[in-house]
Parts: sequence; C-alpha cells; structure tokens
Amino acid sequence: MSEEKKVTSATEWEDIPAEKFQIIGTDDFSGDIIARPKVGYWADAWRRFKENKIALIALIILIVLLFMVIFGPAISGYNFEQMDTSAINQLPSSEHWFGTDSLGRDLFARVWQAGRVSLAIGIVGAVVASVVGSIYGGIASYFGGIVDDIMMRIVEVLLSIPYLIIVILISVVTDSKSIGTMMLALTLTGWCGIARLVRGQMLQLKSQEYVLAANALGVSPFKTIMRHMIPNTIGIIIVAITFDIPGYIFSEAFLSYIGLGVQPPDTSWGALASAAQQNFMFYPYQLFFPSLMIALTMLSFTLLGDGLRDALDPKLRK
Amino acid sequence: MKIKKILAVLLAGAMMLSMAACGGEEETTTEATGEQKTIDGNVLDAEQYFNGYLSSEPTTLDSVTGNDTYSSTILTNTMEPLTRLAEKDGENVREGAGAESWESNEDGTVWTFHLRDNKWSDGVDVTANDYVYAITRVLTPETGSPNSWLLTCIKNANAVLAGEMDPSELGVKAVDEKTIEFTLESPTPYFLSLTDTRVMMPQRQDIVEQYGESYGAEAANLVYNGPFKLDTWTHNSELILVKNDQYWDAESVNLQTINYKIMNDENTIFNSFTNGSIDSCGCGTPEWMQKFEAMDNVDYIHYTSPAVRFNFYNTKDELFQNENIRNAFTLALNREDIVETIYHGTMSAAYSWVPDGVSVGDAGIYRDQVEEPLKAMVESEDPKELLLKGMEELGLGDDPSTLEVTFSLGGVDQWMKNYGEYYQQTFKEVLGVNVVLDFNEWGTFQSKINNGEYQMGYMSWSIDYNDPYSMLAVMYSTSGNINTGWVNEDYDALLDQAAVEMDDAKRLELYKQAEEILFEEGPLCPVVNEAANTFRYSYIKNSNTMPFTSTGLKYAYVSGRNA
Amino acid sequence: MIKYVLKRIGYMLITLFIIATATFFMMHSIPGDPLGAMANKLPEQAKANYYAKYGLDKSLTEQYTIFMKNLITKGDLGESLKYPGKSITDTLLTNSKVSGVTGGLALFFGVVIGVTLGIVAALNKNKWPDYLVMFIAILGITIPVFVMASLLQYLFTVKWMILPTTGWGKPKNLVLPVIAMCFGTIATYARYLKSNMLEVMGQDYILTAEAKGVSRFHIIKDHVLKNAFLPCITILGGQISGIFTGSFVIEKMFGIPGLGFYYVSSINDRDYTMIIGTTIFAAALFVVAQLLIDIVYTLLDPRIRVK
Repeated sequence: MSEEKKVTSATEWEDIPAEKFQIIGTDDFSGDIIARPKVGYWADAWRRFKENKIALIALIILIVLLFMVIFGPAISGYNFEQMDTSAINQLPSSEHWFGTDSLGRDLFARVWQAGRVSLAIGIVGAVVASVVGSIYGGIASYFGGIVDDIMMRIVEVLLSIPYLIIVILISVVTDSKSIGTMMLALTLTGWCGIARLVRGQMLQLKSQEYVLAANALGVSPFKTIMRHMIPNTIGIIIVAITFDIPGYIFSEAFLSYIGLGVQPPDTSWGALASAAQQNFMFYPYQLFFPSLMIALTMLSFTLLGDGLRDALDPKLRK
Repeated sequence: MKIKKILAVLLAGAMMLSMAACGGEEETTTEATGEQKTIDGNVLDAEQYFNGYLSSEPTTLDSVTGNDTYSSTILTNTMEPLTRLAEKDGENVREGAGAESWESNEDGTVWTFHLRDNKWSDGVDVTANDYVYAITRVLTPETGSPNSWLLTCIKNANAVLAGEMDPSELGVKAVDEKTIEFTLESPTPYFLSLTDTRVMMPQRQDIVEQYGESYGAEAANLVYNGPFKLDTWTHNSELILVKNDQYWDAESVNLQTINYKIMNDENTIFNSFTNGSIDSCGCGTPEWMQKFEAMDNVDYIHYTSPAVRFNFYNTKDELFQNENIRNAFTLALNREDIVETIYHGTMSAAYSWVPDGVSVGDAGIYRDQVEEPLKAMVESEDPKELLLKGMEELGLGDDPSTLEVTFSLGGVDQWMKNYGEYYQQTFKEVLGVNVVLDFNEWGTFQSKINNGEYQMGYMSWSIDYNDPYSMLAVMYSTSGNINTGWVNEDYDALLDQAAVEMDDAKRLELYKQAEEILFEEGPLCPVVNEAANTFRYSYIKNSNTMPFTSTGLKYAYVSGRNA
Repeated sequence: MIKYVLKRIGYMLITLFIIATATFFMMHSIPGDPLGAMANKLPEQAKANYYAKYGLDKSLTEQYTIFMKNLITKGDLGESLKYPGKSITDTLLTNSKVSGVTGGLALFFGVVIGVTLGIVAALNKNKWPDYLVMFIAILGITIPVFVMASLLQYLFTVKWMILPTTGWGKPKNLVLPVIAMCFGTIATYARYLKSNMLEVMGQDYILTAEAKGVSRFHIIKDHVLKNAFLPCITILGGQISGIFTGSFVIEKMFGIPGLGFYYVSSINDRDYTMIIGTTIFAAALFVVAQLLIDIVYTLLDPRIRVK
C-alpha cells in the first residue's frame, strides 16, 4: 500500500534525476512483436488439417485411387477395349479380377480407364462450377438491388431452358464430341445452383459487422467478397463441391446416354454403371465395381471436405 | 410372412391421407360368366381377364390421324376393319369381319364389300358410310393423316391428297347401306392385305365432328364396333377394355376385361411377369429368358417377324459410291456371330431384304422359293479383296488403315453403344478400316440421314402389308424412305411391272429379279431379321402365335389361371 | 413489402417471356421435326399436309407471333403435335397433380427424415451417430435412383409380393416410388443441415447465449436451428418446382402418369408445343418459388431487410 502511494505521488516524479534515464533506441518492427510466432491463415489451416486423422485417411484413399487410375489399366494385363466373345459376363476370377462385361471386356482394366475420365470431369466440373458460382453469387448479393435482380433473373432463365435442348444445341453447333465440348455442356448451367446457394448465404453475411467495417474502411468490393464473404461461406461451398463431384460423374453418364458424353471405345464410371444397370440382378458385380469407385471418391471427398472446412473456417481459428 | 404384411399395411397407411384427396378407390372388377363353358376340352375360368402391357402411351385412338403400334393394338381389339387375318391350324386365313363377303372384277380394279349387320357400342347400326367416311378422311389433305400413302392405290387418291381434286371424286363409294365399292387406279395385287389394317376401320361422322380435334384422345371421345370397347384410359398408366355386348360376334368373345398397363422399363416388365401382374411379355435378354423358360406354366412363342435390321450406305458419299466397297462392308460381317453375341440367339441372321414369312398371294411364302442372295455372295467373295479392288478403282491406294468411316446410329442407349462398338471392332479386324461411331438421338439422326450427312447408317424396317412389294418399294428411286441416293432404272421398271401383275407366280419372278439387282449393287446391308420372343402364361389360350394375324384378343380365353 | 412483391412479379413476367422466347427459337434450331421423330415412311405429300395442319410450314417468326399471341391473349398453349387432340394446358394440369402427390410426399418425408438425421449428426459430431448419418447420406447420393428403384421393386413385388409392381390410384401404389425418390433428398438435407448447424454453433451469438446460461435445448431450438435452416430454404425452393415436373425414371419404372414423362419425351419427339408448354410451366413454378424463398428469407432472417 505504502509503495503504491509513493509511485503515484506526483511530487516524487520530479525527484528522479535525469541521468537515471537512458536512451535504448527504437526498432520499427519490435512494436508488432507478439508473444508467439505469427501463424498465417494457410499455415494454420494446414496445421489443423493434419490433426484430423479421418481427413488424412480420405486424402490417402484419394491418392490410392489416383494411382490406380493412372497405372491400373497397365496392371490388369488386358486392353480395356479388347472384346472376347468367348468370355462374356464372367464373374470376378484370378484371370479377370473384376470379371468381364457383356462383350467380354476385362472390367478391371475398364474401371481404371474409366476413372481417368470420371475423376477429371468430377473435379474440374465441380471446381469450375464452384468458382464461377461463388463469384457470381457473391457479386449479386454484395451489390444487391438492381444488379442482384438482373443477375438472379439470368440464373432463372438459364435454369429454366430445358437442359436437353441446350446440350443438343451445343453438340450441333460445335459439331464436336471432345471432352471440352462435354465440359462446356456440363458447366454451362452447373454453376447456377451454387450461385444461388452462395447468394442466399451471403445475404446473411452482408449485414455482419465485419463486412460493415470493411466497407467503412473503404476496402474494394472485390476484396471484401474474396477476403471476407467467401471464406465465411466456405463451409457451404465445400459441402456443395463434395455433392457436385458425384453429381458431375453422374451427369456425364447422362450425357453419354444422349450421345454427347465420353465416346466409345473410351468409357467412364457413369457409363459403366448405366451399362450394368439393365442386368444388375444377374451380374451385380458389373454395377458394383464402378459404383464402389464412385462411392469411394464421394466418401473421400466428403471427409476431406469436412476436414478442409474445419481447417479453413476462420471462425474456428483459435 | 406376418411381419411383411404388417409392414405393407404400415407403408400403405402412410400414404392414405394424401391419396384421399385425389380420387377414390377404384377396384377393377371382373364379372363372373356364370355357367361353365368349355373350348377344346379346356374348362374356362369364371374370371375371364387378360393383363397385358404397352411399351408406350397410344398417341391417339383416332385410327386416321395416329399411326403408332400401341394405338393399333387397342384399335385391333375395339374396331372392326373390313376383314381380319385369323390363325387356323398354323396358317393365316382371311375371314370376314366388318364385311361378310367381297368380290372383285376380273382385272382387279373394282372391289365390292358386303357388310354384315353390326352395331356401334352406342347401339347405332354400322353402315357402309362409316367406312367410306373414315377412308375419305384419310385421303383428305386437311386431315394430315400419316397413313394416306397406304391408300394411294384408290382411284384419284393422289390428286385429292395434293388438293387438286375434291374428296368426293375418290374411288370409294357406299353403293347402299351395306355395300362398299372401291375403284382402284390400276390392279393392285396386295389390296386385300390392306383391308385388315387401321385405314379400313370405320368412323362415325357425327362422333368425329362432335369431338373435333379431341376425337380419340379420351376413352369417352369415340364409339367402338369391335369385340371390346375402351372403358378407362388413365393416360400414361393404364387402359382397361371391356367386352362390347353390341358386337356382332359377341358370342365368340370370351374375355370380359383386358387391362393394358403402360410399361417401358425392362426390369419392371420382367418383374411384373414374374409375379403374374401381366400374363405375357416380350423378352430378348438371355438371363431373363432362362428364368422364364424354367417356369413350367409358361409358353415360349418364337417366330421371325417380318422386319429387318440393316446397315445402309450413302451412295453419294466419296467412298461408298463404289459398289465393291459397299459389298466389302456388307460381307465383312459374320451374321451368325452377331446373332449370338448381340442378340443371344433370339433373332435370325438376314441374308436378304425380303424377310421370311412374307407371301406372294397364292404362290406361297416368298423366301421358301427364292434363295437368299447374300448367302451365295458370302461364300464366293472375300470382303478384303473387294475392299482393295474398290480402293484401287477410286485411286485410294492399298492401305485400308488410311480409311476412316463414320458409322451413324440413331440411338444413344447402352444397347446401341454395344452394337456400335461391336461393328467398330469387326470392321477393324476384318477390313482393317477405322470406324468412327456417331451416336445421335433419333431426331438428329433422322435429319442427318435425310440431308445425306452420313456415310453408313443403321436402322430397322418392318413390313406394312403382307407382300414383298412393301419391302422392295422402299428402295424405289422416288420413295425417299431411306436416303441412300441409290437409283436403278431396271429396278424401278421391275417394280412398276410387279405392282400391276395380278398373276402371283409371275409377280414372284419379278420380285426375285429386283432383289438380285438390289444385292448386286448393295446399297443395303441386312443384318438380322427381328423375331418375336414372347413368354405367355399357359392359362391364356387361343392367343396369337403368328405374324400378320389381326384378330387381337378376340378369340382368347383363360383356363386354369389359379390352378 | 407490397411494393417489393409487385416489382418482383413484374420481373417474373419478363423472365418468363425471355424463357419462352429463348426456348422457342432454340427448340426450333435443333435438327429434326415431329414427323421425322415419329416415322419416316411418309411421302412428301403427306408430310406437306401434316405441316400445313399444324402451321409448321410458316416462317419461324410467323409461328412465334402466332404462339405468343395465343399465349398472351388467351393463355392458350395449343395442342400436342405427337398426341393429336390433346390440349397442352389440360395435360399440364392433370399430370402435374399426379407428380405433385408423389413428389410432394417424397419431399416431405425426405426433408423430415433428412433434417432429423442432420441434427443428430451435428449434435454428435465425430461420434458413431455422425458416421452412420454420413454413411446413409453417401449411400443416398451414390446409389443411382434407378438401381434403388429396381431393388425395391424386386424385393417388394417379386420376392415378398406385398406391393403392386406398377399402377396408380391406390395408396399402396405410392409406397415404393416415394421411398425410392426420398433417398436422395434425405441425403441432401442431412448433409447440409449438419454442416450449417456446425457453422452456426461456432458463431459469437451462440457463445453469448451459452455464457448467459441459456439451456442447450433452447440454444439449439431458438438460435441454431433457425439460422441453420436458412440455406436449406434455397435448396427447398429449387426443389419445389421439381416436384410438379416429376421424375422421369421413377414414373417410368412404377407406371405413374406424371409430368416427368412429357418433360423428357417431348424433346425426343420434337413435340414443339409440349416442349414449350412444359418449359413455361416449370419455369413459372420455379420463379414463383424463388419469390417465395426471398420473402421467407426476409421474414425469417432479421438481418435482411427489404429496402
């Protein structure tokens, strides 16, 4: 008590002789030094991601799938398009690990060959759709008013014109059936769903205090959308992506169905699954293997997505 | 079992509430016939009903404006054409239906039909005018009937269709209440075989005018004069036919009810047949066929249908203008292997354009008397040599692998994919040619073929009436049916001659010569003849087992359904 | 609010007009025509008569003017080209009711079950119920509808024989299609709701509520659920129009006379009037649903205010 009194007493300050003070110099940076080392957003995300065992397992499954898709066709010892009419619809055996299809082609080779197309389509499609959709939805909701009205009406028009007509038109106009045309057909309206989802979520975020703060500080709209609003919507976007990947894999099967998808002799998981559909009661394995691959892909992306969401969500940063 | 029942009740209960709002319960009741009746030693069941299916919704029951097979199935059972082809001891016999008797003048240009007494389902008498009215409607341009081409043999039909003449000038007249007279442009050997088709079914002018455009669009929007009448039509779901008591031959009709469910998913159809929801089903899938064959109360009905699945070439194409190249592709196929691999033995290899089962009037079945042209060619020619010869003629060198051929297919389903891939491999192996597959949905395919934007295509063609002319006329230079661009004056001349040749033996000879020309030049490549593969529960008796038969279910009956 | 709704209705009409116009010209520019799609056995004369009957011989702009005039002045969508005598408006009304019952039930059960599962999963994050729900969700999305439907059909109608294979009109006809259809919906809602709940549970106001000692039950009920539902409403809005347009695959397998059949087959048949009719119908439902969502959003979320 008495000590304190001493310090606070104004008169005693004057008694300290000037020579007792010493100039220690100033350092421009030291002012910002924090007790523990600075951890960036991404580094932090990675750190938290590593702790998530399940997400790591998912990542490993994906890597294994990727490996098999690249090297699987070679391992099988069969050419994926080689027909053998003497060995049709055979059960899985030591000769044909996944059995053969109705034209006697080795399914093990076909499943991995198909995976190349499917994985590429699923990932590229989902990523393109999410990026375009998020930005579009973000812009619409951020500006609101007439901009939002017009942008959302465009989405409604795009979603309302029958997809089949659009797809047939694309195939007629481009007169090509390359993977590129197929991707165009897939993504042309694919992003609309995400755009609407993101917009809905962002309308909520828009009135959050930190967005208001960013606005007040004069941060450019683009930066606000990219830095504040999208990261805060990341959860829902990631769920949408994980749903979209099998969605695209199946859409590709639909496109194959109407003749715009992957062209024979090439194939995809979706095409294999729909090929096996008719007789799946008799040859369930023909449906099982491609479906299993789709499910594994989906499962891994979902778990990975959950891990990523937890890792990337700024609110969960501690 | 108990648990399953409880489960079913629970599940159904969950749906109850919502359904209460949309229409009440509707049980299909089947009337009991009372006394027991016996046919061929079979005691008829008290409940006489048949459960069938249609693969698609009938477009309309207006026999004039529709032309799909599904409406034909219904119309055959509900309307009375002039004649019918009935199955008797394994042969088709033409019997009187709407007409009791008929005769023609000597050169076959005037036909007279005498109608029997029959009534419409609303009790009104059927008159000659009803038939004449329907036939005139077919040929009136404003109707836009897709069936008009079948009747162009009638005098002045073409001029009326073109709008150059009034429909009253047509060569079809009601002489009196019960007599119809046809005057033909020229002798038409196959005229009688038109009289059991939908263009020879009657229509009531008052009813057609009352309903206008919607005539035939609903069960209540038309009247019937056949063995059955349509009672309920739940669009895209079910059609229920009941016996028509006003029918002249109601005595011979045993079935009281026919239910046609609309089903077009294979698994659904096969499941329904397995559990007895439907009494008959067509099936070409080997796995299911084995299953059905193992069922001991099921009959297997198999016959070649008069329809051909074939490839065709664009003879205006740089490559396929050459007849050796066309024949090389035609002969490169191993039809027996296709039958096994693609069709699992359910169809038969086709080496000719006119399919088996088609007869030339009284001269009998055409194919029994004329060797299939491709058979000899397969044995004597080597496809690879033909290809090289053709390439030399076109100055394309001697390396087939430099050729790239586009094969256009009018379907995008899995079956079509397999089919295309099979060909791709075959042409590569046998000829060394690279084939690009071009799958289109049907509309696009049609337009590509019609515009000549193709090299080689695939289609199927079914016969319209029982005479080889129906098949051969498809390739007549002006028919425009299959746009191969192929024109041969000799071929046209032979057909012109055959069209008016009333002597069956002479006509057969003309057809034979025409078919030979067709295969020498090879614009078409027949692959298989279609076949009917029907499984039917054996308690359904007296139902058709042959092509062309047009009695529908008139004579069918049920014996021992629940035995 | 009324002004806002009126403005939106105005936009709606413009949107529908654009959709109708775009679809009209697009569908006429795809190759093929209704006759070619039916059969190709017709001689030129018969084709010409047919085209004349349906006005298909006129120029495209003329056809467009006639169509728009009938639509706007009389609300008339015309008559099917494939099914003579069938009015498009009648078909839409009758068949959408059927699709509405099936789809509505499937959506109802799907949402209820899906939301319940989603809540269970979120409250038990990284415990076994969470994994179970996740498993169901993945199964629901990766098993194609047709496989699910075939399997159900086989088990219930062939193996156990307790339900009818196909048909329409009785409650028991609805059981299998509804189950087959709601699988995907369950999966969607379970996943989205779980994700949203976790998101909301990390928000500051939940922390505040917890700190204030509000019971966990009340936090979940009053704060978490309400906010977590919002994004689901967007999805729901997108699905409402889908209910009435029906599911092609399910209708086909179970013989349900819904609208889904026309939606797909009209394009293959080049049944122009039917294509544009179904498109306008679906689009109208869709834009109305959008409007409803936006209204519900403003009502549910105090942070969004209509200016």
